Amino acid sequence: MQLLLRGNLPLTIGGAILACIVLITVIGPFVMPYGPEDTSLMDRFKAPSVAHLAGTDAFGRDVMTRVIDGAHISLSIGLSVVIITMSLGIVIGAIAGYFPKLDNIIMRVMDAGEAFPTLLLAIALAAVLGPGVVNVVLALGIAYTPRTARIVRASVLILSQQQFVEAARASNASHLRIIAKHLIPNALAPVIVQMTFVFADAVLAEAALSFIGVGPPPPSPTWGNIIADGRSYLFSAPWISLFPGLAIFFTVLSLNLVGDGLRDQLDPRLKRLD
Amino acid sequence: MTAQPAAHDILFSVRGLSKHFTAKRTLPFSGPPKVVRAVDKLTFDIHRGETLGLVGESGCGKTTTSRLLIRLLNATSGEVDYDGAPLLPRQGSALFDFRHDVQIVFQDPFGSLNPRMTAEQVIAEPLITSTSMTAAQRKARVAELLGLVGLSAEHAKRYPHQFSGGQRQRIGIARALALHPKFLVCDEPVSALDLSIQAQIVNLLQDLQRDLGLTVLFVAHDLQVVRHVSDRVGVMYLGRMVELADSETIFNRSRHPYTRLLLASSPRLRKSKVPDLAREPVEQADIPSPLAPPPGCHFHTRCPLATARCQAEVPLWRSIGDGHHVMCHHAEQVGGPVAKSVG
Amino acid sequence: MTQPLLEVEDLTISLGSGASRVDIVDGVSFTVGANEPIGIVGESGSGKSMIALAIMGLLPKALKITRGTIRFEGREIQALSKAEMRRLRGAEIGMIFQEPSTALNPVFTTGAQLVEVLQRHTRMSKSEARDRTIELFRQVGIPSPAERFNDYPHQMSGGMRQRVMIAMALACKPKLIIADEPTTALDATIQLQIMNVLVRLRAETGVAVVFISHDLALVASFAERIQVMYAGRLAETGPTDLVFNAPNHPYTEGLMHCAFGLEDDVTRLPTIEGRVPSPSHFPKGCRFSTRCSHVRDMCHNLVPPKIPVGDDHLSACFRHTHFQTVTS
Repeated sequence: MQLLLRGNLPLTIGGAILACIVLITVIGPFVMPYGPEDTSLMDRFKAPSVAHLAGTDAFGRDVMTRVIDGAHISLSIGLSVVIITMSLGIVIGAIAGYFPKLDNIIMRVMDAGEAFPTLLLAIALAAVLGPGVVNVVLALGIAYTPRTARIVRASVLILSQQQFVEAARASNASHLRIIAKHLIPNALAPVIVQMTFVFADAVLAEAALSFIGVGPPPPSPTWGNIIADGRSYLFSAPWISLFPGLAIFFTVLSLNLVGDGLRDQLDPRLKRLD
Repeated sequence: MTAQPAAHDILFSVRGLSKHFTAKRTLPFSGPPKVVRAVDKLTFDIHRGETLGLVGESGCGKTTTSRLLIRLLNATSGEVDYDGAPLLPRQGSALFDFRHDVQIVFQDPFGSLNPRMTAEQVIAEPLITSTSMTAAQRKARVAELLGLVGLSAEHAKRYPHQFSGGQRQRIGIARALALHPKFLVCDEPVSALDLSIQAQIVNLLQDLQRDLGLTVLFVAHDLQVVRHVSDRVGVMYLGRMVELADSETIFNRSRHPYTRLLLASSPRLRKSKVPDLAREPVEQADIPSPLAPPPGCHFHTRCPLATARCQAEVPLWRSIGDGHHVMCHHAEQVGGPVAKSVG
Repeated sequence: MTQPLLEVEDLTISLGSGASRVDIVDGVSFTVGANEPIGIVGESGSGKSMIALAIMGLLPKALKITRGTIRFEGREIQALSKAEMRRLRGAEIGMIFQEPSTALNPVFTTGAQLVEVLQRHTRMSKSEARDRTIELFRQVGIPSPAERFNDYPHQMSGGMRQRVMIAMALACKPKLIIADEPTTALDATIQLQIMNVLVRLRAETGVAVVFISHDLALVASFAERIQVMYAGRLAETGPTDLVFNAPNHPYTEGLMHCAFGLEDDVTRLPTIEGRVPSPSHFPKGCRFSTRCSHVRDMCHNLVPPKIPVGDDHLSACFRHTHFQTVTS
């Protein structure tokens, strides 16, 4: 690991921020003295202080506690979207890249999916299926799959021409074996990079969906919901929206840094002089 | 080498084998798609236990031919008998059985091994896909194969990038031998290697052929290596086989102008060790594009003997005795030993 | 004696620094006189291409010249500014690479690219440059040069593209051309054509050439003097005839056997056992010691100096010496 990080500043910084965020998310609930939905009418609109690190909101709920709790939902949504996108994207992309006859049909469907604005698709799905965490995940997963499939397909197209694939065919390997053993493992590097960006996008999109009210319904404290809650008090109590905003900012920033760093790290062109 | 071999001595019998590729249109509506005759009506035999060399320059179809013979590509037309039975109609289990018998060693020591598999996994793959061996049996066979190609057991767990080009080629050979094949295609097996390593691999392949009784199709552009390993040699130019004879005949008494040009182009084949390029006349014509080969004899644009007939009429693939086949209208005029400077 | 055109002295090119420093090229010295064709032979990893890049000031960032000098007409190349270096590269040193398609810009016609080179380095007008380009095309044997002027690189075959590269290298009448594996990517019959063009143009223009290749026979057919490199060091250097017909260094000898051993009808090809060590595993003494059949104790510890073995013929090998290691 040390070897991996040496000389790769974006990856090191991004990784460090991300590790902090995950750490706070995991141990936060055990340390914070308040519950995310504990209201206290005495403590409404308290500015950040030692007692309330990020102040309180209109119901006297501790904003820091809510942001940390919101991280659970936001990060879970991000992770779920990544898992769905990756599995769908890899399978679809590999099939399209390996079977030329299916390629056209599959990729035109992907084109159609990609032509649809991500958020609009999510809103439409939410309108049909109703708001909720599962639907948000589903909508984002479907929206991001085409991009990933395209990346996998491109790699698989190139890999299929490699002689080791021909060698596998000459050895009577089945299509399934060739795809699973020879193509997908070698197509993973760009997908992993892509996944960090999908994760970041999903966190942002979830916040946007929650903000306009088609995400997970309140009172569950997602980052988008908390920002929406603070919307009416932006001038009198800016901290309500500021801190979840910062949480989103640092999460997305760290993920993008990790993605950039990984891309450099995994780029074979940079390894020539080994 | 003089008499026709008996039928049971023939492993592959190839009759009029063709493979056409359709080139992608560059623009929509730009007329009918162009057809490349990558392999154009080849007729030849491969004898059991021999090494047949196949030479020619890029785009001549030698690689495509090798892939057709082991059914990695499907032929457009023609017939191939393998071991006395038609090969091309084989499907399903019959094809599976055929693939058990034939294997291939590739040119590129980097591209032919999956970078995410260890040497052991690479070599064991045919055993997994084509046999019902247990893991322990496979391990034993892999160890045996590693020894056979001059690697040791400690190499088993390493990944391709930890090997040199020559060692990688040994791994590729071990994989090809895993299933005890009868027929081995060697597709430019040494051309990506340094000269000092090439010889090691060629020697290994020759030893293995002798010890295991393999029949080998040796595809290469390096005439010197082909001359050394081959019993017979076929020369290809723009999809057609233009000459086929035993190695000694091809290199000393070739009857095709293209073969002679090819021989003259190899500095390593010269007797005088320091060739004098400045003094020799050199034909300056380019190799025509395989997309639009010249009509008649494909070689007429570069041939010193070309006549009007060569431009109009495709020469027949004919025998001129002693198993020597040639595709040239003027083969009888191409006489005598190959040019003075060529050994 | 007049000053040589190019002097490479004790050139050492290293990767990394401190304890992990590896000398990819170690103490290479040679000179190229005006009008002289010399050859550098070596297999992959011998460092021959690094020398070419160093002469042209194009070494990759990771590599540094840690010792030695390169002088072109007495001027030290390392001391030149970037602008001076660019001028030198275009106008006085021409280059021909293995893969012409990477050196030609795919969106301009080949003719236009030559005109641009000519206009950048000379005071020619556009129409003069055009005429000169067509003349150059004719010189390198491109058929119907006026028509091929308007061809894009992808419309040409590999052999034609290499001819364009040669025309481009010659465009500004350079004093030196560096040709790094100029025919390796080409088919045998086309390789012969290109070699023929190079030999003819060299005779006509009198340009000095450093011809770099892995193919001993090819280099010998072109160069008057040969340097044989192994693992970053010069193994043997001398006039082509001597190196070719009376090789002294065991590596050169081995290469000759590999290349020509087939003339006698042997059943087994001669080989050089083992393989080229990777830069991080270079042996301490002679770098060929791991594969040499004449190896002695001292070879493992001492770097053999270049020992004269004939007229202008040097070999970095202890074999024919009576040196002994003195143990104390």
